[in-house]
Amino acid sequence: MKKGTASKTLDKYWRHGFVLELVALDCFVLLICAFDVFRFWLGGHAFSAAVSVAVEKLREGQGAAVTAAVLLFFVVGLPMIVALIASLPAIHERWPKLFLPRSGEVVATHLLFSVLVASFTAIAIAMEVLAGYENNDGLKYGFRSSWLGLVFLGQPLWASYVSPIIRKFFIRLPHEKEPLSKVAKEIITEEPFEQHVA
Amino acid sequence: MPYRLFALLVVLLCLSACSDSHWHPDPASSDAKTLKIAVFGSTAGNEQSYSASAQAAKLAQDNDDVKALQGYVTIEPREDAESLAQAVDDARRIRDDPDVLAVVGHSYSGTTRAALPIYEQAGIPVMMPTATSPYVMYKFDEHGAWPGFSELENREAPYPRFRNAFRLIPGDVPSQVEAIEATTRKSLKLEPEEEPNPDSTAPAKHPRIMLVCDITKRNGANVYTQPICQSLLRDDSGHSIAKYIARYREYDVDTVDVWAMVTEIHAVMRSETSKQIVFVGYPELARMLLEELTERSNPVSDNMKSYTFIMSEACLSNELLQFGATVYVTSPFNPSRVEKCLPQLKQIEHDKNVVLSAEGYAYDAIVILAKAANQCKAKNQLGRECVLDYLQLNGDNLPGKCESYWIGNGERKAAPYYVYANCGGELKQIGEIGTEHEIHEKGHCQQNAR
Repeated sequence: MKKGTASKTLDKYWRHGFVLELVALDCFVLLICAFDVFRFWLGGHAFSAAVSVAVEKLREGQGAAVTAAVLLFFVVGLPMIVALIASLPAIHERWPKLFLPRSGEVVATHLLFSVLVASFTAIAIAMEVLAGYENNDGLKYGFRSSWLGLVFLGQPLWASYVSPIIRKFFIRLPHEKEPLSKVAKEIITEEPFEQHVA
Repeated sequence: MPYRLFALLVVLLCLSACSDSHWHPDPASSDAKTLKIAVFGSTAGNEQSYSASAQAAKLAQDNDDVKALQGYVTIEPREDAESLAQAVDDARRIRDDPDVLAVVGHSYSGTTRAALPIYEQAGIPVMMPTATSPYVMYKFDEHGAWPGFSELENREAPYPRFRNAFRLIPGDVPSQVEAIEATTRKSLKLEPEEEPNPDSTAPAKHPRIMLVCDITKRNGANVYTQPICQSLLRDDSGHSIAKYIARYREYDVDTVDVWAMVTEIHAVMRSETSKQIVFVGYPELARMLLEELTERSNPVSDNMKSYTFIMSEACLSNELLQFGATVYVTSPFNPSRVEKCLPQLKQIEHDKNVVLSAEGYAYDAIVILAKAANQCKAKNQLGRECVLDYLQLNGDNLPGKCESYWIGNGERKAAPYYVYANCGGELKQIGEIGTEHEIHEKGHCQQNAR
């Protein structure tokens, strides 16, 4: 792959996603986080305790996977989604002033907010565990974070999306005896697995 | 889409699919089916491996309030930590375990002090049946210099208290300090009118006592003993025994030179016909001291019967009577009341040769928590927060099975204190400390004890 092509692809699929609306989305997520903190405090819990426990657990590697996933999603996935939406002709033609690619401050702000949201994900896990279970005809957490609920809501969707891709990748690779890049390209092009086997 | 970007996305999606089920267990798929009340009991220094709290937890299973929680809450006895590091580890495990509703324990002031900040992070209510040190209840940096215990309640800048801690046993200051002072004065046969006149120029022959303080750091004995020893050394009331303390020594079990300790006791007590030693600490050091004293009693024509030990409540153990010294132990425990409340313990007391102690407090702690849990269950709010609110709102009247408790600011109010002495090879209650620091003698062993 040529260097120029890679740079163009990055621009098209990722850098064009750094728009002002992305920061607005970050602010909305941070608002949900702030609401969680407020509810946790109302329940008589100390937010500082959740922060210190989250740090302690992250050092032990607990909760690091979800935190890293959220960070990666915010830094890589979200701009890609926004770039995709921005490139849709309907959006582009109807609201030409929306989704204008930015750089500098917008990128820095989004990266900062991404770190905050990812950190809060680890803290939200600690908040739920510290609140403990309630048992009212069934166990459930005494405090449930709205943000963590959203994160975990996506988990089965992502898992169900990822698993067919991985399955295709690992089954096809030993059969094909073809270069890795070619197999990957085939998978990306969404060529049906059944058709390929046949 | 370029291959590298695709690989990155796959990593991202794989990571998001990972779960932290160990740290953040999903209630639906968790092994836990009920909430738990963790009851810590220690068998340390007990040859029969007997634990008062574990025994109480066993008996409490038959209590009606506990039975009413079947399917919702279970009582889970746990072996208590013997060191501060282990207590911290245990507390972290409990904090990270969302199905723990409350804790009863720990057995020692030091371990309780080490664990409480961790329980507070998770808002876990902690009922304390045996931890007595004033230090336990206050928040301060335990890794820095500790405040003097008199600074804890300095009205201008009081140290904040742990809001999740509730002490069923009376605190050491002033209750135990007053009991030790009263017992020492009684043992020295000091009456108020016989107080030496400080203005008198004639040299008076004062009785001399030695104060031994156990400051072992490993098990946190220093947390327990420091406030008591500091109070005993203060000459600030007519009941103080500070003026009679000829020597004050602090020893750590792990570093003590027992030979030097006993040599010093011999030197200080040489001229005394009745050798009075006030011992504040745990049985481990007391036993070391008594063993060495006994071993060296013959070479210096010393007789163990000439020694009188006034010991703090942690030494309420019949095993310390075998050395022949006269032993008084001050304690808030009342075995006759415990026997009356839990008659099943009579046989165990006889079989295991133990002095009933914290069984009543530990049993009541479980009963109080069960009552709180039942009320929360009725409100469909069975969780830590509701139980904590119940304990805080009803602190002025928390009925257990053996006693009713008035707990303000986490501290037990208006609790009696007792004196124990050797009665036929067993420690028996011989008196109760009165409001004027006098001892109301009771029981049928008064002559023997004297």
